Amino acid sequence: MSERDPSPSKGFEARLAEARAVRDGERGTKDGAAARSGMGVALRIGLEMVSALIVGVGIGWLLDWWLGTGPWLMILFFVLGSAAGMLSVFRTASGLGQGVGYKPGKGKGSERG
Amino acid sequence: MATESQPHGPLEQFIIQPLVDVKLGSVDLSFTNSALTMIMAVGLVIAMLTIGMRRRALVPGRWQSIAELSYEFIANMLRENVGSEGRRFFPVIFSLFMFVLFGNMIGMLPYSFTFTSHLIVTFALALAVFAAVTILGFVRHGMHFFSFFVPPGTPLLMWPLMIPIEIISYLSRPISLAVRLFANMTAGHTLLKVFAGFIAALGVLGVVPFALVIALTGLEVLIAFLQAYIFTILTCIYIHDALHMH
Amino acid sequence: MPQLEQIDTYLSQVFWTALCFGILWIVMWKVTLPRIAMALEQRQSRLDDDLERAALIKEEADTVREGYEKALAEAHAEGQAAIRKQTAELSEDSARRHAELTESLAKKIKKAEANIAAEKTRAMESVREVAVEAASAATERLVGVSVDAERARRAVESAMGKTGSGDGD
Repeated sequence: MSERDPSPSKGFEARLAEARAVRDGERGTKDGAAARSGMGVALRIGLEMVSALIVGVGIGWLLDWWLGTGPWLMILFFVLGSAAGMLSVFRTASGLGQGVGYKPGKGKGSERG
Repeated sequence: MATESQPHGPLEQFIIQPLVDVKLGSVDLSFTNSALTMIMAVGLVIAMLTIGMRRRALVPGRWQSIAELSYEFIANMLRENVGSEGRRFFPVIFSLFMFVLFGNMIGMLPYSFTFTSHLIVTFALALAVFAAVTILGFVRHGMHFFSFFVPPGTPLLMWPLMIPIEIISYLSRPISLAVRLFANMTAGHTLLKVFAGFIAALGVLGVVPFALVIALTGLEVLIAFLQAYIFTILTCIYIHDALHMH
Repeated sequence: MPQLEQIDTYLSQVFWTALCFGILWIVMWKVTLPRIAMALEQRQSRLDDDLERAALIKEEADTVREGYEKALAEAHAEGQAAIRKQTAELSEDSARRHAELTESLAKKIKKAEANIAAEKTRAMESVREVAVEAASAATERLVGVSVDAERARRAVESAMGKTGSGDGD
């Protein structure tokens, strides 16, 4: 007769806990890493190679123009630019990050190059 | 690309047309169709986000929801990619995202202009981001910032090779940032225009390209959003790099 | 490609980009974002308040229910005790009554027995008298001698033995 029966309040309790969990979850960080498609990665790699090449050639051309060293620095920096481009490709492909420095785990977002 | 010879060519939409001549000395700062869409974009962003928040209701209406969702979207992006330090940069990152997003989206409307399809605009934005991030890195780390260009674990012998490569890599950031946005917007809008041209040319059979244009428009809306997102998230990542180096 | 051909418009484009972006930045920074932040904060604190209050009210309700249950249990125990007491009283009463009844019945039985005994004695008396009369009548008839009553009675008494001795004078 006098047995405890908490079931009427159990529903409420559960709902309250749920609401609190939802609120706490909203405060925490969401893992919103965008899906990265292979196509996006491939296009981005191409763009990064080209950008590095443009910069390399540009620097070489400017130095040549400044120092009057003919086409040699441009050729040298073309090679360096290619190397930088390949480095970017390597880093992007191994998911090491977007740019300078070996920094792991920052490759986010699918991109169209 | 002979734009002038084809009055309705797919590249015609990218022509800058001065609307009001503005001269500052010998410098031409004319108000153009590009500037007009920029002002439209800015006005639209401000109107949407500010007027939507005029009545700060507990249960948000549609406009308030959009404003709050955008806010939390960018805030999350910043928190995930920069960390709690990133809060200082929230206004500028938010503005950047909205500016690029609305620039891309306004270009979707017929007869309008896409200012993000101009390399000089995207390059100005990318260069501003690049300069700001570089200054931030210097302010934060002083001369130690140069260690950025030496990957940890590089043997001393490799330094003369690695440092130029890393500098080139670093300098290529604004270029890839600018070219990505510019190329995506230009390619997408050119393609849309080409297919739209097919509709007119094919007459009744134009139903096929019409369906294609609709599908492409959907894709372009997605890309317009995605490119604004990428531009912003890369900026966040650059800020993170400048703050934390390696 | 007009983007790469109209170089003379570059300066104007950069200028308007900087101007528009600057305006957007300042408005977002000073007006719009604080408003959104405030609205979000208000909602969050309101939500927190509501949840907090819900938890508080629930606690209160739990306390009330506990008190109620305790009171219920007490009342129940009290009732049980009362019933037990009543039962005990009742059984005691009935036992007493039973004892009384048994006693009175025993008394009645004893009285009835006494009555029966008295009745018996009286019956014996009358039998003797009848015997005396019969004896004297029989003697008179048989012997022709009239026996006086006193002798007859003595004779009967001796014949009957000691049965009715207690009753004779």
